[in-house]
Amino acid sequence: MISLRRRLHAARSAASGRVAAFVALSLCMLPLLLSTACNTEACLESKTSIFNTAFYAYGDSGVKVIIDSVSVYGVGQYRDSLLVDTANISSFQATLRSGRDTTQYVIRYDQHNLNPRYKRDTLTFVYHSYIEFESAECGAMYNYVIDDFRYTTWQIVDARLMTTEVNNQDVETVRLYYYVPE
Amino acid sequence: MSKPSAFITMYPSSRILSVVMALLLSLLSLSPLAAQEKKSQRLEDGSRYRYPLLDGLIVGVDLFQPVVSIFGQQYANYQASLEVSFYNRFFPIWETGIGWADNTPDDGNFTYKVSPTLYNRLGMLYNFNYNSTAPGYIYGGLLYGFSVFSYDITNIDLTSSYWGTSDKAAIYDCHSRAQWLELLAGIRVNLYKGLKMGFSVRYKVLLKAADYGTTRPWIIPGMGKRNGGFDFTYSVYYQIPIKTRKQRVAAE
Repeated sequence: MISLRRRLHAARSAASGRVAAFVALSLCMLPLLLSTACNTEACLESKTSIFNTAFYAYGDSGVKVIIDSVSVYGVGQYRDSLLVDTANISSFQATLRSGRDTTQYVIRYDQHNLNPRYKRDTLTFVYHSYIEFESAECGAMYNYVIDDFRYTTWQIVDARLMTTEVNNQDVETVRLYYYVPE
Repeated sequence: MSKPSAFITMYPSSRILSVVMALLLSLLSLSPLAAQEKKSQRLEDGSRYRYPLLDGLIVGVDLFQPVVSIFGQQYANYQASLEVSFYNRFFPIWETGIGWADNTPDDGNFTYKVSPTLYNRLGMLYNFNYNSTAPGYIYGGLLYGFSVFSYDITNIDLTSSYWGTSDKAAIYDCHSRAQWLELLAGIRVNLYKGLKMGFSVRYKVLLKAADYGTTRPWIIPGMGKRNGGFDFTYSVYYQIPIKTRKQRVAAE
């Protein structure tokens, strides 16, 4: 009877010792658990779909140009706020308007020596949209497929739609060509 | 319009460093076990294995995932496992469970939902201390997991600060199937008779997950987040001994 008790006591103490050793080992794993809890990925692209418009010299040179004193705004924007306000730029990024199939942007050339009649060009995009969910980091967003692209030619000589897909990738969507005197 | 800036990424090297540190600490604390294992690999009577070919069936339940879901993790995999012990060395294993998700990331504009879905993993574990009589052992293994599931992306908030528009949208019933691999290492300790406890550290790699239209599955039942990486299980096991006719005769 006594030996049975001793054996039971020994078995219990051995089991509790193993539990203690196991808990100690588990504590050694804490750095790993903390590191997995801090596993934060990031969205390396934009969280919204954007189109990039870049300015080029018309002709064979094909060089990118900077245009002085340019303002850009969307037609129908609810606060009439400017996307670009009188800046010297060689490109700009903009978004298309969801819930509509057409968005227009006006490029205003604010140089003083220009005739007011030639101060504005308008870009018109006709498109359809769909929702894309590619990653949790970037979230869900509207992407667009451009069905038609039109432009005025007060200052713009030519324009090219480089891709019909507007998404969060940083690619050139539209090239606008301007006459640049030698 | 300026592009939103990217967040700072946590470099994987820091994760790897912490894992290496943890494993080193674990191995250091198990060095007496390892020494005993080396001695015990060769048996005195010349036989190769101390344990019989069919050593037992092991059933296990993971306790870690239910606990982390209580503490606020918005997805989890509740799982059980069944293993067969061959010579206490090779353990073909089947893990099955239910995975779910209802996750709205802090800086996300959506809610990702997976209703409870069955998943399975098949693989093999290897006991490095297979001839040892020590009360625990270190093991490694490789598992192949697969699941067929549906997910919803709801509460999508599509706001444009420039145009002043705010749209709500949802995409329901996106179907996908996924396959992944898990490389694991773990420790098990015998507590009393056939009762064991143990933890495993797993590195998960997604092999394939089918996109559905313009959506891509994010949390996969059984796999967790599609980027994979490290995961952890903390399980309780019970080993059911199997006595073959030969063993019974020998015992008599």
